[in-house]
Amino acid sequence: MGIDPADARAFPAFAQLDDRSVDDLRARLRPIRLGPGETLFRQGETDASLYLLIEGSVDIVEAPDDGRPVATRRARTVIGELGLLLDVPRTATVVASTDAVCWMLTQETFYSAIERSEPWAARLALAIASELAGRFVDVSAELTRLDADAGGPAPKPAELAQLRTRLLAEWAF
Amino acid sequence: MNPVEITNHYIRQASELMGLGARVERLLLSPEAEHHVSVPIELDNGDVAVFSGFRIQHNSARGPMKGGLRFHPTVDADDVRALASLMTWKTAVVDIPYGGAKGGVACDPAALSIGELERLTRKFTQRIGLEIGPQRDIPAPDVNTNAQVMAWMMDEYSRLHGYTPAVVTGKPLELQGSAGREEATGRGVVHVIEHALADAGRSIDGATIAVQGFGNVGAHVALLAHRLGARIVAVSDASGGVSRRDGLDVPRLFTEFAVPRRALADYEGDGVAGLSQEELLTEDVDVLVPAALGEVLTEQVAKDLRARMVVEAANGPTVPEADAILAERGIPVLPDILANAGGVTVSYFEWAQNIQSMRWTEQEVNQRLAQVMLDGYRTVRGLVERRKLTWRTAAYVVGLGRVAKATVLRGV
Repeated sequence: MGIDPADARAFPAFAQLDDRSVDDLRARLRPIRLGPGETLFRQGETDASLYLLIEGSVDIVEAPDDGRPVATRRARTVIGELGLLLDVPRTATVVASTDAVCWMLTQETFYSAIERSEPWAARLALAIASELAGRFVDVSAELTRLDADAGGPAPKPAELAQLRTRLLAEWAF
Repeated sequence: MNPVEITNHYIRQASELMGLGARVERLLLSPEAEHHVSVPIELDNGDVAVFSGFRIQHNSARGPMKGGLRFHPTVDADDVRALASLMTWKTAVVDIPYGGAKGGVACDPAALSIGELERLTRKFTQRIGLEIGPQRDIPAPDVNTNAQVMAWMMDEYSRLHGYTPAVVTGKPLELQGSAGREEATGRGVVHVIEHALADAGRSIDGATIAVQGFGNVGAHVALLAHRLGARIVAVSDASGGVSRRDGLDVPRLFTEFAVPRRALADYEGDGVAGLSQEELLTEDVDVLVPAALGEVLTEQVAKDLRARMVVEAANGPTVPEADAILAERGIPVLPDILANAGGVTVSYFEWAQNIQSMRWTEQEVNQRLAQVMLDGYRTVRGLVERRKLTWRTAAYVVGLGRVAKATVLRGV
């Protein structure tokens, strides 16, 4: 199963690559097809490859697995970037939630392409950085929200404020 | 039910009606502070005696706390707590700017010499000296305490704080007491009787009244009502009672029995018949005024009662079961927290005069008292009519409502 150059260019990071770079990239990627419910990799595994999600969507599931995904990723994004960059075991399990197509890139291939300053590798590095930056923004917002909540119990209608309104309205004398 | 339970029963009734909720109800029922002190004095024979004293401060949402101080062998925290709470609702019903408190010393004043009583009063004042004050808590006379006791308290407090007549009320006139204070409770009761009769299309002039209790309050109710033309057909005290269908000679009873505290059983006069305290309660009269003890209107009395209305001059004369029966029978019961609020109202006037270093004439005091009682009466009547409540429930709703509003407006 080959990779169509148009499919490669549909991935935003590679839209501007010239034909030679696209060919270079295509030669280094290995396509993987997943059916709904099939696992791409599991939390704890020591695989450091990067995956480009081309079609479909996948769920990110963390142990303890209560069946609820902590996140869902949709096509044209990178998956497995933490394993690639940090060389740590997989922090979550990735399961296809629809029919999905991924392109796999090994850590070794990526690093050597960076060493050679191959244009596609620089584009991909930028795409990973964007993905991480986006997630950092989300985490910051979540922290701010949690911090505000820590100021007291979740807001509920204040008993005394309600009573004040009611007393003054209904029991005027 | 003990007095605490009875008070709390009526409060809960009102609270439920207003939908205050269990947490706010608890907030309003819990006393703010309970001071329990020991009061040691040296007796005349050289022995040391230690008495138990209380000052329970129930609620200050609407102002400094106000309430009597009693000297009695049976004083205990339960009673004092209930009476403190009653003061909170009473001051609120007539809308004077006070909260409620009550105090007492467990002692038998009859067994103490005047010197011992003074030392006891002064020591107790020292013990609670930091808890009372013109803007904090203002004691007043109650059972077995009088203007002299208040004078000692004022003097003891003033030693530390400088001349402070406003720290107690019910003082002698010579020490900035107020004109009209003595008969204030009775006068207030009579105002309520007048308004209630007027609303029933009657006048107090010619109405028949029976008064149980011939102490300060009962005797003044009888005397003032008599002056307005009422026929006082029966009065009683602990010794028994006397009745006369055409009306008793109240001025004579007042000067010859109430003032010197002579037993009514010794009274004799033309057409005067004796009757027991219990018989008095079921006399056929327009107005029955229980002006002595608590819990005298029992379930049985409520069934046998023949009066057209009851005006409670005493604190807590009606047990809840009797209250329900009287409500069912359609006999209005003008409750204690409204009817006998005249005393604390003139106490408020005394304090107000003291704060301003002013003196009002007796006429001025009586005029203002009449207005306060009328306003309180009308407010409660408004709820009775609009919400179809009993007078008691309506009065508690007014009291509780005003305290609850003050509390939520100030913030917890």
